[in-house]
Amino acid sequence: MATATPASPAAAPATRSRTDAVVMLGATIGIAVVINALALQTSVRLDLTEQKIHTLSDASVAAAQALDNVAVTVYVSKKLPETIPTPQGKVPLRGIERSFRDKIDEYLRASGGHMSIAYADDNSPGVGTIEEQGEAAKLEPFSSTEAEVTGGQLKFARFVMGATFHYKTVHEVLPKALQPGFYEFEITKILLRLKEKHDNAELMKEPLAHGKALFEGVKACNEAVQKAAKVDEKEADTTAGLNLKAATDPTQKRLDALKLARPDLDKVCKPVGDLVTKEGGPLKGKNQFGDNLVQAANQFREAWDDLAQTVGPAGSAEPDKKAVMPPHIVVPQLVNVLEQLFREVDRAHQTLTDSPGRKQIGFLCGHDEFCPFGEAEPFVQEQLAMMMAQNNPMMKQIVQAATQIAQGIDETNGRIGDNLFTKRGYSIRRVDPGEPIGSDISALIVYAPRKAVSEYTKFQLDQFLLSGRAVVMLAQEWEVALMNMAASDDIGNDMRTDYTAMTATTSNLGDILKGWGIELKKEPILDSEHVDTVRVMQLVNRGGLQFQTQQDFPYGLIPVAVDFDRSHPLTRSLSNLALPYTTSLEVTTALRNDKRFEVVDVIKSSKTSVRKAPPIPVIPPALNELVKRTPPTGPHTLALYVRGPFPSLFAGKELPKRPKREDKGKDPMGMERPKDTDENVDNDWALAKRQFRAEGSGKLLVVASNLGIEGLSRATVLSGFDLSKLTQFSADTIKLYQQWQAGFQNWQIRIGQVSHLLGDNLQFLYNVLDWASSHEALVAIRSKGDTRRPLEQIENDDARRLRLGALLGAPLLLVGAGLARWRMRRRRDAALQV
Amino acid sequence: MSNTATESLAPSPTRGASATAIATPRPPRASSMRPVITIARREMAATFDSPIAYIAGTVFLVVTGLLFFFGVSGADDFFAAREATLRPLFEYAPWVLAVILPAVTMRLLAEEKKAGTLELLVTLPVTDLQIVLGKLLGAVGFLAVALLLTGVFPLLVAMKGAPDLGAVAGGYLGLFLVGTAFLSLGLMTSTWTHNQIVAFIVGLLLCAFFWTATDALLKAVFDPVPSVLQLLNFQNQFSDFSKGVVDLRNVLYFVAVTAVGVAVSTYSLQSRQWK
Amino acid sequence: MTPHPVIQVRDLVKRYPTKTALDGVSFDVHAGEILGLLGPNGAGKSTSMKILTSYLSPSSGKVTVDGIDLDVDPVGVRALLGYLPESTPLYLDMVAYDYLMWIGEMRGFDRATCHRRIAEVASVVGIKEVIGMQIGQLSKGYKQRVGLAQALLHNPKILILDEPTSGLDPNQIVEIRNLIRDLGKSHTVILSSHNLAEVRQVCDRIVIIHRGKVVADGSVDELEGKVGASHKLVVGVAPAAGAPTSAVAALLAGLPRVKAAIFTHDVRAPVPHAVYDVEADADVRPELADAIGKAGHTIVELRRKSMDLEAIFQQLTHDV
Repeated sequence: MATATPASPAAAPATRSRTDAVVMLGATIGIAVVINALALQTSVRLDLTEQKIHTLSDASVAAAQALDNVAVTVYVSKKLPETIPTPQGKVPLRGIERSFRDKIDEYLRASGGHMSIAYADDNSPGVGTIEEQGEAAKLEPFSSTEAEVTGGQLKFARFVMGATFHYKTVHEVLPKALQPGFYEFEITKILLRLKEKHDNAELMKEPLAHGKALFEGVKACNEAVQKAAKVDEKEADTTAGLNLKAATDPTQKRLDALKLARPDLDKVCKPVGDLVTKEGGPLKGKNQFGDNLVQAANQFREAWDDLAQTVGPAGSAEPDKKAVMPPHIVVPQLVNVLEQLFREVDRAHQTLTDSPGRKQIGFLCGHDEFCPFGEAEPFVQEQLAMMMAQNNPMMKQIVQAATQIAQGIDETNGRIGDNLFTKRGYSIRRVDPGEPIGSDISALIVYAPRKAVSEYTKFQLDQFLLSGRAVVMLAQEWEVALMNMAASDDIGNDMRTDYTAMTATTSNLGDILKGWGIELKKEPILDSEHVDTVRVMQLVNRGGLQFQTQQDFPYGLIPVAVDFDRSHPLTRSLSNLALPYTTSLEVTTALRNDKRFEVVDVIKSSKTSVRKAPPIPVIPPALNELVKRTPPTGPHTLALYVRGPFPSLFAGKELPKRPKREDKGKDPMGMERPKDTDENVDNDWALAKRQFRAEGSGKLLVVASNLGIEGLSRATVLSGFDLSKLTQFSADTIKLYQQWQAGFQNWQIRIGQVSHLLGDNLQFLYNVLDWASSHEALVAIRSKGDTRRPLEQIENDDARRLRLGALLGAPLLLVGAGLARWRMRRRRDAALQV
Repeated sequence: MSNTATESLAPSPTRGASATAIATPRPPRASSMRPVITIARREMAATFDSPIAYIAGTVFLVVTGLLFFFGVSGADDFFAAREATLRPLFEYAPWVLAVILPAVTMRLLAEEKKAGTLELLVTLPVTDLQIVLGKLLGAVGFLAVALLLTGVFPLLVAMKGAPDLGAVAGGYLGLFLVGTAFLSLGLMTSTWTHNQIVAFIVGLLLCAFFWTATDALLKAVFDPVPSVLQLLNFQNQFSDFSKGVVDLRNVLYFVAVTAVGVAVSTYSLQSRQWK
Repeated sequence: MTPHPVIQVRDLVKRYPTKTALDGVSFDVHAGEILGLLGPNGAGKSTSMKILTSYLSPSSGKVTVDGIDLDVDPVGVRALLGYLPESTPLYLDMVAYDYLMWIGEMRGFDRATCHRRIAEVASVVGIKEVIGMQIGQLSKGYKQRVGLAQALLHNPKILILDEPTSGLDPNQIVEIRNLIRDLGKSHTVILSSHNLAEVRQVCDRIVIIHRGKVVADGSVDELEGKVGASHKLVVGVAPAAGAPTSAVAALLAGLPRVKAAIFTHDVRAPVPHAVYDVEADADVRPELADAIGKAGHTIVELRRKSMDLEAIFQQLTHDV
């Protein structure tokens, strides 16, 4: 024992004094800090999630590597707020900055040195705060929930968090990065867009050049005007020296200054008018961005004309006498208007410059389908309405009311389009029937038409598909009204609740698809087990008061799809999709066996599903009773993807002519529209014949349900509105008006019935849109960032049992094991002998 | 006293063999884990022999369970949200751990100090570091049991849906690491006093400080808080785990905090020998 | 007794901020001896033992145990020691068997060896019948035995027992003392006590510590010689018939080397006699007995009056 080895001092550093301990502790903390500081430089991380949600996908890595020398500038406010307000309530920002930087760093590493990153700071003099720099770089500032008092004023501080991406001549902005779940999606989208934009910029060279010339002209004019109008006391004294007496009022000074500068201004601003015709001419009609720019420039020109007129010619002491307001009041306003209009021009130009990277998705409109746009045309032509009003003042009111409803519909549709698509970065575009489909549209959505499309539109669809672009068709073969509002029979009464019914739509999508070997069945698919609920609003009359209550019923007409094709990016990560009022799809054997075609049943209904021809009761209990009685026929295909050399539906037939456009007078911008002539129609026809394809490779996705999104259109709501019949005012007119109101309500009710399904279904729709605009990589990324893992619907009693089981089970297990252990030990102790 | 028994203690030539056999083994090396595990086993047995384990464990499981099912406000309903996720568990469990773990660690050394058993313990052939590690490991055993029992929640979710098991594993690793850091802090306060209540309260305050209050307190001193100091906050370091991401930086942070807690405990134990 | 001491303690100083507990303590312990550390409460006995077991570190000074410098390898030294701290701290919630098993494992034995050793030690200290009981439920004496068993478990070279009999009832004290004496046959033992009688009974050698200093170091006899400069006797004499007590007192006082003889009290039963305190320069018992016998009185009682510790200290410190 005498040779016992001394304890290794390194293994157990024994301290002998307070000083020792302080030194050793300091060393320990020092080592810990150094190791952690070194670790901060590394990025060893393990993503344990099943789909590697938090790791860049291959598509993102590829996108990062595909670009050479992308310069990223990151703008992050130094002091971020705790929370920010959102429509969903306060959202904490904790750790978001780190997530953002981490994500950018991940791209940097993935790019293999093809990316450079700079962080904006406010250290160097004269660059302004990070917020100012960010705003200048077109970031979207946001404010916190907490206001701060600065200089005696309550102010919401503004913050920025985002980045700009430069690649050669093109530029993209991530304006606001507050949702870590979408970072990868957003950034990869930007990278893909940068590439496309750069590639397409070559093709778009000409319109971009025109746009640029127009923009520069407007800019020069605006700058000159703003400069001339910017007078302070001193300047005014020298420049307006000749007119000292008048120059007492600053606004007067400004007028004088402008007058003085008039010759110079004319030199810069007169050409704007010419530019609008010269540069705008070739720009117009090419695409909506060009149109927007020309329109904005035109408005700017008009404002300049007004200004020029108000100011009066150079040197003239007497301004325009016709002016209602004194010019020194009007002029500053006009100068301001010019500035505002210039910003519009700037924005339109910016959008035009960006446009090559944006793939436009067309939505077919005009058949009572889901068409997320406001109408461009006014509901009633102004002159016509005036005429009616002269005949009968009551008619004026009824027309006004109808116009209001129409406006409501337009606004709703516009808002839906904005919120669902535009704000998410989709560039959507309206496709009107009877018009050729623009070449800038890369994918076409036919979203659940309830009326037949014309031969001409069918022809357009056919040729669009055969041109190799994507067509998505969602079908709505049935309308299900669990509750329908209708005008009351007695005038002056409230609306009454009308029938509950299931009516077939008059859509002819089935006919079109048949031509390509796809059969859209007319019978709805019901299910007994895999169903979601329908939400029923009930008006309960209680003590003379009406209450609205809602209740969810499991509903056989809303089957939940359970069988997804996992090989297809559209459905790879879907877990839940309820398809209200869906029918089913079948493919002819010929198509199925055709080796040239790829046919994928992307979504199928469950084995317990039933295909049942009407009549089908729509009241939930009756329906469920029926479903239980009917033997299952499933699974049925609910969505189908077909790619291959489609034959034209018009092969060997005479091509339909474009219908002649109605003469609608001036367009909403107030510009005269050229009249359509038979000759034009014939010319277009000749062109169409020349361009006709009898066969072409395309990709087609058909979904046999509208996913619960029902279209809202003037035609459905304002049915029966016919100016020619509204010559006489009668009781029927009021009933008609009530009927319109009911129409709008009915749409709300039907959307409300299934609105709880929209969350999941929209994810699928976005997948479809990304896929359709050939950003297939994004489909995978999005579904990754937003994978929902649903929990089974659990009845209240079950939920209570499970909760109780979990809450009591674990502690009981603990205490039980403790008791068992105690008893075992007692038995052992009693028997213990040595 | 029987003679034979006395003889057995006095090795006689005839009994030499047995005397050799019982000769004291060489003291284990200072770096050996054996005494650490022996101490840890006793600590765990002591914990589970006393009601504290069952009280703390039950409080942890029930409170975490309630938060899991109903949220802080009591208005959220896990089943109504219909999402097969365990994020609520990982979101709330650390809060509860920060309260109950100091209750488990408070007795570790304070009790030994008060009862005097510490004198016997530290005069056994083990180093102070081994003692501290053994005590910590024993408490970690309790943590492991408590976390194991929360397994009813993933089990329940897996019965009714398909949670992301990778994310669950990451979350549990995070809970384990943050829990161990809490235990290390609690153990540290237990070495400072012979009063268990004081050890508990100081431990609780420390845990709460690191879990939630660092931001607010630092803000009082620095505005804005430098991002380096924001790293001190446990919550910031924990959030990645609950997403299913195991980042070396986060792991090292909790390991470092635990190590510093162990170091302070060891030196505090050694302070009896300071000159 | 080997010439090489097992434990060498040299110039131990232990200073606390407010007081000095040890002020240059040095002593040796030889193999196989039972050393008693004697001193009143607060003298530094416990502090010395705590330093020996490396619970505390000395402010200065050096301790070598079996050739190992305590400062260099405290863990190595601890392996050689069995230690029973003052007031026997034990894990009260543990069963005695589990506790001893744990101690054994902590000392590096495997479980089988532990079990065998527990059996052996349990019979030595006499706790076989309570081995399955919770320590907290045991009587003070049994607790003490469990503490001893714990210290003995690894058959240590050296046993260090801090006040092993304090708080026990007289029967228990006797048992434990006997036990320690038996243990002393095969171990080197250091025990501390403030009871001189106990030390005298059990120990081969005594080191007396007072106010942090060693005031005496030697065998019981040596020490008694040292403090025996004054010998006090208690003498009980049944006087010869008719003799007055004063006569006996005079007789006693008149003996050579006797400084004083004072009558203290009478004892009536069972043998009536008078008791005298006698103070002498040397041990005069033979002469005294002789003289009393010759005078016709009967000695009923003749014993040395035990000195209380404080008196010894006073004397020793006075002498030193």
